[in-house]
Amino acid sequence: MAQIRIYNQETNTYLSIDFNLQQAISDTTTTGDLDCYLIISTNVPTVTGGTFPRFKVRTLSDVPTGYVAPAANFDQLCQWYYEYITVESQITLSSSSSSSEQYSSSSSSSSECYSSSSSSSSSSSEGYSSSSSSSSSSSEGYSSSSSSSSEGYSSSSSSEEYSSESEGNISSSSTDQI
Amino acid sequence: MAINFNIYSPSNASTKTVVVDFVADYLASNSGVSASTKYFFKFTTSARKTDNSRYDVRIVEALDDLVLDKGVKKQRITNTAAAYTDIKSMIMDYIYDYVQGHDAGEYGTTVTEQLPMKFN
Repeated sequence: MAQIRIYNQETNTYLSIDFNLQQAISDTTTTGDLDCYLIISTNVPTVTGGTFPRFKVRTLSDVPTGYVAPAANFDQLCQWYYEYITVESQITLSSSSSSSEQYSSSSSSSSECYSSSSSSSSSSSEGYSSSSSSSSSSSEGYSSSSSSSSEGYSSSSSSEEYSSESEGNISSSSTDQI
Repeated sequence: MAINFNIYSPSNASTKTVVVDFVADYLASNSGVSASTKYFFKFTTSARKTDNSRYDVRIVEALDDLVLDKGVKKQRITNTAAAYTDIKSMIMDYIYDYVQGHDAGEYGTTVTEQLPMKFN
């Protein structure tokens, strides 16, 4: 499993976006074929305090709303979901400033967040962006897998588990939302 | 979460496993290490080929990363150069190639031989 962790320095809490490979026999086919797909889920709250749907990704054309399909590769696809979720949730808005502050910001007044990416949920990232395999050791540094900046996050909302019946919005008609 | 695909051989009454996971890691190669994490599928197996050699770990970054990619890019099952239509067909093609192997030049002169999976 791949996971992006977003650290809120102000509240000392983590939010995450998970990319999970799953398999199942779909109830929407008559052939009973096994299907394999990615489930993208997050506990990042929506701007209204709700939850994002779980996104089911079967192809590189299963992109978030507003993005032009197909993605070039899975790296870009995951970046787009990260960007979509963080922008839609307005998680990037700082409580003290609306400007876009990067990791290297020297501002001490804003509540900055740092994102990390790992392939294991047990990795122990410490604030700054890091990437690690399941061994959990690892390379830490400022470089991030995200294409957008991680900025302050003023909300103190908790990490809620996903409700599986929530609606979502993916532009591809072939994409299912769970 | 990784998926384990078990391949059962009735004639040998044995099962081998190919593990497929979707991960975010830095990618290292002879030319260096990627500047940021990459998201990709990762195929691993402890099974051996019929000559008792190990399989290389294989990674897939996009659906046009076809299983036969040395000089000629082809899907293993269909012998076509088209990108996989979805994640499922990509995974199935890679696992089929693990199990069945392929002959040298079978899909093009530059294709090198890969022996089938050993079950006995």
